[in-house]
Amino acid sequence: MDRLKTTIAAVLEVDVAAIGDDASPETLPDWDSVKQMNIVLAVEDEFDVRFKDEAIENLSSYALIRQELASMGVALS
Amino acid sequence: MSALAKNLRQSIRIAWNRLMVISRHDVIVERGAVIKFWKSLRFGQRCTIQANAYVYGSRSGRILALGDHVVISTGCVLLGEAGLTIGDYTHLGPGVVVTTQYGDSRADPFVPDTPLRYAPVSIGRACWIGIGAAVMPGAQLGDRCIVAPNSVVFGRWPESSHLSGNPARRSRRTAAGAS
Repeated sequence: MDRLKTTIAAVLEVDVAAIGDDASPETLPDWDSVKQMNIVLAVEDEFDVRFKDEAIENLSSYALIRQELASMGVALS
Repeated sequence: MSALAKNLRQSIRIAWNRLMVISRHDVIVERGAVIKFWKSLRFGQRCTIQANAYVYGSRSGRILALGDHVVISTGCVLLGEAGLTIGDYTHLGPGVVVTTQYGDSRADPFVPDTPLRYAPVSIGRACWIGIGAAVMPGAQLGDRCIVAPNSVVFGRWPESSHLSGNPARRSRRTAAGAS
């Protein structure tokens, strides 16, 4: 189970199957600016991390969030 | 209709809304507070809406509900289109904005009447919301949360969360029952 996808799906209130590897505001109409902030906060909570303020604005897709978490040394599974 | 007539009608409507609220509910509405769509408003006992607050209910049948002893301080803005609940003894400091509506960031900024998006907000009992804070659409605060001045609150937070910043994050969490 991909915890990151599960977290994003919970915020967007969609089935986790709808979160593909290319998931982003472009592919998911519900992923807007407010949901974006909610995703960031939910991911911080789920993985017990805190993103730098300057990183937050770049976390605008599943792949970018995954990449940022990996760079912080977070285990994703 | 002339602009003058429109403004006069609006002034009368606002005075009427205020009269409807204070005659039906246990609430003090200070001078200059503006209330719109009063039929969607619910009040517990002994609420206060201070001067120059702006309380916009819902046109679409949702409810803007305040519990007992809720204080909406001067200059607050409550936009309750998608539904807004504020629990007993919660105090909103001056200039707090609670909104259930927002613009779609991907909408064309050059198109007039950009469609709004909506998400309900709930604020628990005995919360303190600091001066100038913004509580954004979809936010859910548990009981006894404290929000620092000028914070911007997104997301869901458990009871007794202490939040600050933009986006607001938990600075610490008091133990249950602790002050």
